[in-house]
Amino acid sequence: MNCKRVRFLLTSYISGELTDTERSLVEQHLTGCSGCRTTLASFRALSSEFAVLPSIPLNTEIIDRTFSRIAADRVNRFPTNHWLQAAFIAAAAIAIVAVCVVLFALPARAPGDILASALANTRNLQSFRVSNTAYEKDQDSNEWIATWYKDTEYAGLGNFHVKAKFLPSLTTNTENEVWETWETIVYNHTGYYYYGSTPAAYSVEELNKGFSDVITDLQQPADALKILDEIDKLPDETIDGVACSHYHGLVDMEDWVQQHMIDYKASRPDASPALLLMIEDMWRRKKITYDYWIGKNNDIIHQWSMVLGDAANAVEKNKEIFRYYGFNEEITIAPPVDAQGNLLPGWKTQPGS
Amino acid sequence: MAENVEALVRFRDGDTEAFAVIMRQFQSPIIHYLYHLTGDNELSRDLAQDTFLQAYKSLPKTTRDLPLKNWLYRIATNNAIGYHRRKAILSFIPWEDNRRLHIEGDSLQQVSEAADVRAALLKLPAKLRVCLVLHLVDGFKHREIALMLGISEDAVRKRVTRGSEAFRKLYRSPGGDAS
Repeated sequence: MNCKRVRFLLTSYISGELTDTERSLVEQHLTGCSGCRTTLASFRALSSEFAVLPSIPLNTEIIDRTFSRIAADRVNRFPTNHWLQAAFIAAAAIAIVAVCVVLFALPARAPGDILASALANTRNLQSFRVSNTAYEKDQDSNEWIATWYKDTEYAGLGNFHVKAKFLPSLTTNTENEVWETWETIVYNHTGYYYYGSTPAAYSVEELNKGFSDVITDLQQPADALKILDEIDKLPDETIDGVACSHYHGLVDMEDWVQQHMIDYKASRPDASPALLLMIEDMWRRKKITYDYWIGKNNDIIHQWSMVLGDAANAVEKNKEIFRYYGFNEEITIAPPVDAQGNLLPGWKTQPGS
Repeated sequence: MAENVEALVRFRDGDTEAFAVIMRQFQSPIIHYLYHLTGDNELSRDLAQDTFLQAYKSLPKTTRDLPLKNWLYRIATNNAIGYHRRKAILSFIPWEDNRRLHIEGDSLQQVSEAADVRAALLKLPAKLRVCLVLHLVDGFKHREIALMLGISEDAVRKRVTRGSEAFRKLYRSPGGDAS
């Protein structure tokens, strides 16, 4: 357990809210880390410091005033006619019962828990299909639309069988990368088969990671839950004809920047301090939001999206949408070989390293 | 606590006066909580009234297993945050009038410390302050705060941690042994 993780857990450690394993790992770390021990002492002192906060005198005025307002509210709200009163009370009673049935029949769950549960349900399906669409705006705010992959199939829980269809993209015709339609099958992690233009620039590890991040494990939308600051429930929407609950979350950019600076420094060890500052400043001015659409009847992710924009003027720059469908349909993914084990015409293979 | 449960049952059965028992039980923690969030004596009393009025109206719609205390704190939090939003003073409270402090029988040093702690607390962003006060002053667990505010437990832990770090930068106890 590293210092960052331990410091994140310290307030729970102090209040006795860690599991036995977590507590043991924290204590093990504290034994050898004076910096974290100092932070622990500093946090522990807070409770006694807050104890000096002043108290304010109380009397019955709050109770009296509240009852006066309750009485005034009654006079204003209730009709004076007795029949109307009865009708009003009956209507109110029906409304209250309806609200109770809707709101309190189920235990209240935090949106983050609901989303984590739906992601796990989707991840554990035997099979599904997924398509992705990306929107990107250039400097002149022209919108480009690209579908990176379509009707990609996933089947085989725990075995990682993926058959992806990549489409030509409008946005990737850069000097270094010219994509054409190609199809790939990753089977049992061990290597991959491809058809069309060569994706030889990718190792099987990269493909495995790419697919597990977005498709098989839904790692990216699950990781995002850890850095979302607020999650709001928006009005329901229909995705592929299915009524879905819609959740919207804003990424805590402080956490995001910290994590991405670590990754960036690792990938660019030669970057100058000035460049790092510039990059960090640029990222701090970003705003990232995630949206999730969960089937109201099946508790499965039907769609999620990520939007990247500028925090200051709320301009959206990039948007990626991932749509999931065809749940638990019969999908068979097998290596593209004939009965003798020879590759079918047009297919090539890339073994794992 | 048994008194509360009984009062809640009586209130649900139509005994309006039973609500006074609930208010007597919770007025002190709720007012102090609001006072720690807003730093203003009168405002915290007004917001407490709003809180109890809303509770009075909404209690009949709740279930019998309602965690009353947590629920009242949630309403109070929403009122305080709502007030801050209306006044567009999310991060800083402009008033800082130590003459409003009512501290009886405390030494001058304690008065000074209390004012410093309060000043540092009020400088924290509202969402950090809410989590810090709920956890460290009112003793709610991270899980309870998460349910109260409708955010994840990790988000609460993050806010308490960040609030603690930010508070520590703003305030050091006179003993100085905290760091």
